[in-house]
Amino acid sequence: MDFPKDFNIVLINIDGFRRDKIELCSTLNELKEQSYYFSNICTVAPYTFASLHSVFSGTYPSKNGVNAYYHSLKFKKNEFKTIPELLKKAGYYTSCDVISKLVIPNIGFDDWNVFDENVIDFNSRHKNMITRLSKKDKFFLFLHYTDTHKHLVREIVSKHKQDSDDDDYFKSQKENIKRFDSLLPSCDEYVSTIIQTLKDTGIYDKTIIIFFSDHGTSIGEKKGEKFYGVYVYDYTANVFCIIKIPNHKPKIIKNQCSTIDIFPTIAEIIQHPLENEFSNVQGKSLFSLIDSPENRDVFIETGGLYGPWPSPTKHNIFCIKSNNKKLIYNDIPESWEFYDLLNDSSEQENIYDESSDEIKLMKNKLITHMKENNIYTKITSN
Amino acid sequence: MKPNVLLLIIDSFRTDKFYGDKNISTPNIDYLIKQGTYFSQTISAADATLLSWSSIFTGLYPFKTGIRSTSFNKLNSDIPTLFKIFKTYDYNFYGYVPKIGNIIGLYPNFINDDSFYEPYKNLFEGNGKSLSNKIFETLENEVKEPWFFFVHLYDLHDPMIIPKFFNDKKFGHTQYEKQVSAIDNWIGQLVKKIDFKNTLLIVTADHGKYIKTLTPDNVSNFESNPEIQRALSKIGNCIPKILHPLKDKVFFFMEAMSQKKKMNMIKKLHLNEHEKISLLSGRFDIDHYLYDDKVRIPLLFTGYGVAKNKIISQQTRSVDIFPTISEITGAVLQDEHIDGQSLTPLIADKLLEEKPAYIESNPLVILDSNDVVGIRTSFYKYFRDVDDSRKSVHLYDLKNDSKETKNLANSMPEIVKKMELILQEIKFNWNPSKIESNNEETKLIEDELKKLGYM
Repeated sequence: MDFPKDFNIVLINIDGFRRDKIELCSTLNELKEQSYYFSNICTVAPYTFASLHSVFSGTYPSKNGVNAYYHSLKFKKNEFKTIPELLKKAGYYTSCDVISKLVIPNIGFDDWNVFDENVIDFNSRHKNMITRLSKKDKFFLFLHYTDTHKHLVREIVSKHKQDSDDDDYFKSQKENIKRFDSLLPSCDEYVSTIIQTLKDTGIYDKTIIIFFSDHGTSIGEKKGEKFYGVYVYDYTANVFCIIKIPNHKPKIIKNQCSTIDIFPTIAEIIQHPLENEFSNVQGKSLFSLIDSPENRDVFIETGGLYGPWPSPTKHNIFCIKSNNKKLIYNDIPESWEFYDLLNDSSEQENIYDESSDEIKLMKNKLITHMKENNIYTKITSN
Repeated sequence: MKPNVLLLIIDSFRTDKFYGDKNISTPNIDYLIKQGTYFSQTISAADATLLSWSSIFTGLYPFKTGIRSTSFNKLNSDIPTLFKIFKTYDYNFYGYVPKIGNIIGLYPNFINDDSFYEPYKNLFEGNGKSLSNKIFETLENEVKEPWFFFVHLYDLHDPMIIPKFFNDKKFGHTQYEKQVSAIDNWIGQLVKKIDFKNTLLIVTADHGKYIKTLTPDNVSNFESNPEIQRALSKIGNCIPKILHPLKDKVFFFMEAMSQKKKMNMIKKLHLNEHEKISLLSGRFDIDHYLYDDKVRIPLLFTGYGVAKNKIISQQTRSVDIFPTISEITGAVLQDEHIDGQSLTPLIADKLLEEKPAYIESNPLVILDSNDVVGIRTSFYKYFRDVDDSRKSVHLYDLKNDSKETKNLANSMPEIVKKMELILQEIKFNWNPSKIESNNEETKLIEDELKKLGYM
């Protein structure tokens, strides 16, 4: 595939955005239709800290060290390189604006910014940043848009506290959907502002834009999880990724893949081989899925800050998604779940059957993955 | 052959009321002791249920398990537990546990679906019959063996509802003693069903409790009225969350008034500190003490693989229960980095080093309490403030003052120093996980989580 040389790269995370809401955002939807749209991409960890460290390093949480809320500062920077390190090496000016110093590794940036969520106006702040950077020869910019967190998660935490048995929240799915949807117009306006700013500054045609979400958000589907990070069900595991490359024909890619594939995708765009110091990347470029029947197995892990089995210092739930099936292993309480995602997309019916050959095969794959990534649990230590 | 295991933990059962008290008739417990090995000086690692469970089922002192009275009071998932080990030996688990056990990550999926019960449900008001039935069913109905049945009885815990038949002086002077007699009677029915050739029975407690009656003649009886307690508890549970701060204020005001009244009542009795604390103790006391009333528990092994008619007075600990069960049943404990040791040498008349017992008080959840930690040997009891070795220092000479009436901390500084060294070795020199040791990093992360509204 041919990629333009020396184009700017703007990578934007719409924090907690549910994949099933894209069609409700006209600008984002329009952008999707002009881009490569990966419609079956999953996060490898359904909460920001672990998810973004994985995106930035192209590695699974348990491999890179950020495998718990309380391990957010344990990124193995001597073993794994990050996207800005790669781009800086390729001559890019690197900049970012994030909600907290915990969400991505502070490595490889020329310009590191942390915003105060309580006062930020995303539109004007990020418009100014792009305008300022537009004067650079070529730049990489990572932007973190956290409106969902700002207006939804904070409200849930303060209104419903964290009692995982609080029925009020889980009985109010209609209200929860309404509340989530009410944030979509401002999100879409933000997308519009970014695109318009790129156009106004004259760099739209020499900028590669990547929009993605780090995880989804619960609207009360499963008791015990009020926003994300507690379980690995699809409403938080399914995310989206839009890659807009000037002069490239749009295409929807339905193959299953994961967010650790974004790093090697960027490497392919700038045509930098992933070797030597970058050889530890576990993901594979998304572009090789175009016109390919390949569906990648996806592994997801988490440990909730709250919920029925919180595990803020160690992930305790692991899963594999393969061929529209999902096998989940809960380390506490030790149990298995199995879902047929094609016929039961909301994962209501656990059809785990120890004697099933299909499940045995997936179990082997999951255990192999866990062992390869040094994940210590009951099933991998025996 | 893998033996079946029945573990019976009777909440708040004190050693002195389990065996050898002439005021109480406990023929069934006495029978079990004759049929097995009884450890008469076992010390629980904590004075409350959650922490005690954590040590019984992991063989570790509570502070190493992750189970605390804080937001994240769950067992650290990488710690081996009795249930995890027994699962690898294909044991089938049955359980009957107070509901709070459901939230700490300690217990397995019990086969019976009603395993977690409301704690105010009394053994003698329906639970007993259904529980007995479940156990009997398990014993009689060829349920797939081997099984591990864990029963935690709450009937000696407040509010203590005495069955009518046993609410008579002939069964004991105090409410507590009468309830012990009632429980003994229930145990009698239970043991008839046990095939001891193929079953290991363990009877113990999570901790003791204060008996708020000074003399057999009830000169001062401060036992709470259980019916009122239960009614208040039910009313309290109905109050909406928004009114909880107000409810707490009313509760603590009433507690303070009650304490004041009791203080006036005992003024003229010339009681020692221990006696006063026993009589005046309440559920939410800020100050904590680790008298034997609270931490000395019975421990009885009987049935499969256990010597008969043996009473061992050497000090043992609740952390020893897990490795002992493990060794008797052959469910081998792979991880040797635990605090407990198997007591099987003592059962087999061999020597076993007596280890000092680490003890700690249970922090209150909604209040800051003055918690203490300490060490007990069969000679001395030492405890002091958890954060400051110079505060609330207590030392008792157990050989000459088994009732712990004279605090010798000031007159025996050398012993205090020795006991403190043992405590330092066990608790403060313990090398916790990297995460826990890196307080600065943890604080930084918690500050960020607070800033982001997660905490």
